[in-house]
Amino acid sequence: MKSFITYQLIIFSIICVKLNSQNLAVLDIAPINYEHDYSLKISKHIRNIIKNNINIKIMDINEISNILDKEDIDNKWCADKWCSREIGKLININQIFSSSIEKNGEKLNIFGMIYDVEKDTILKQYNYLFFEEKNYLFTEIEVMIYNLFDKDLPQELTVQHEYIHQRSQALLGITEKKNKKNATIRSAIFPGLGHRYLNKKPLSNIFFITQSFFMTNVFYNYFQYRQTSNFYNDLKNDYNSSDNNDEIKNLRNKINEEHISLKSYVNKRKVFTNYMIGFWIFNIYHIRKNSPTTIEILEEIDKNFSNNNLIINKINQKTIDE
Amino acid sequence: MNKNILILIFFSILFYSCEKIPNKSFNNPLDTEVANKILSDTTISNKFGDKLNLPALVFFPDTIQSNIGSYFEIGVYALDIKENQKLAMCDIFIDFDHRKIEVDSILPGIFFDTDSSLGFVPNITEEKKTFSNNNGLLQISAMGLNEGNHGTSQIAKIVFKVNFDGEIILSFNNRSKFLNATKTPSNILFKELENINTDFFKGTIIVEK
Repeated sequence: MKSFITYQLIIFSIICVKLNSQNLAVLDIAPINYEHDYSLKISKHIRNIIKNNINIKIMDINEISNILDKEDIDNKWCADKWCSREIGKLININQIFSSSIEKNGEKLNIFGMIYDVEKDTILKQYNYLFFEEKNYLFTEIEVMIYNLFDKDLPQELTVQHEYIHQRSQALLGITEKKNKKNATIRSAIFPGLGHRYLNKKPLSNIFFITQSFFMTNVFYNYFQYRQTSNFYNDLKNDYNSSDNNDEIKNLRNKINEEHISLKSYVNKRKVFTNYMIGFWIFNIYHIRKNSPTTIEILEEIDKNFSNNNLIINKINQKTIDE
Repeated sequence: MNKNILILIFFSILFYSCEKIPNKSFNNPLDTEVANKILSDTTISNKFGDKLNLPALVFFPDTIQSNIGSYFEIGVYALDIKENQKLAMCDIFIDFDHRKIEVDSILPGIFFDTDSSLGFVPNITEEKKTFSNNNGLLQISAMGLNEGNHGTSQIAKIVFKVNFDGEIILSFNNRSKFLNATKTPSNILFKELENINTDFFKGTIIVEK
């Protein structure tokens, strides 16, 4: 009996030493509205990446499960600070990597965090919502891990993530809305700016030049009015102070002429102001009407990434065993 | 930020929409064309309800702003004297509020001067310009030789000194007389012109404290 206890103590000490030599425990990803079996595969993928790409030694999941099973705890339901702390204490490890995946229609939201048990603090966390189109999950899981461990993304992964990000933003309707909003604001500031924002340069130039023409005419007629108005007032003063009959007649004729000019400038200014305002409004309407749809945005993204076709195609080829 | 820019654009447009076409009005009392228009419009009268007839006597400028203690000049003009009824002599009486202003001096105008080439002495001599600062009556007498003059021109200029604030009206007294001269081989016949209007145009002096 004594030798059995001694044997058990030795085994326990060995386990403790072994556990303490591990810095990180990676818990299974917590599935929310997501297939349970598939989430286990993703958890395996996460561990592989941490081990192989980030080069961090992690605690074996079976060992974790053994300890937690005794306490009747399932490691895959933890993606929060409090449970990370409890599990960390139970398995006697310093850092816990916990994560979750939530499915909402075609949208996936992945969450991950690294929790420091001793300091009782979250060292880093990451949250990303994207539109799962074609096997994007594995790429985004990789991106999450690189981010959480403060590692620079490899070039290939950067391109893939950017591609997924842009498509997701488009498919979630964010890009279309953002494009429309930004283009409208720019068009409201000055006609043509919205079109330029949407890379419609010929239209932008047409709107810009036409509006500039109207504005130039508005300002020209306004300043001509101001100048003529000053001259008119001078004539009026001269007329009112003159006691010479010939001069009075001459000034009266000039006043009549200048009054006609004044009316002409004001009327022209009003006409061009109306054109200007009308064209301004039309420009805003036009940009809203012609703001690209989600399909057009997706086509544009594919076109922009056409040079990286090989890298993009690799997204779909990724598997769990990779 | 963008909202502010929009507001700025909106107010700029409003600002540039604010220019007005000035009211085209001709108010110079010596403008005979305007006077003839007033004449043809029977509905127009001055603020005292008087109607215009031409020819007339006019104060110019018709409105003056001045201050207590300062001096101002106002001209007495013949307006639109017809060629067939030339003015050869005049005896003009002007009423003024002697409690507020006093006459400082009277200077001759050029209405009768134009005849000087004909050997006439046109200046209003001391004897021919009299004024009383006690009862507020001013008399200007002037004459020209030959047949006199026509048209619109200054007969005399009066310099007043301001003693009190308020609105002061200068008006021509009904005693004013105007004479036309007709030359005959043996003598000159003077005939009174009764159609010269002295009621319509009055001088208004606004004195501020």
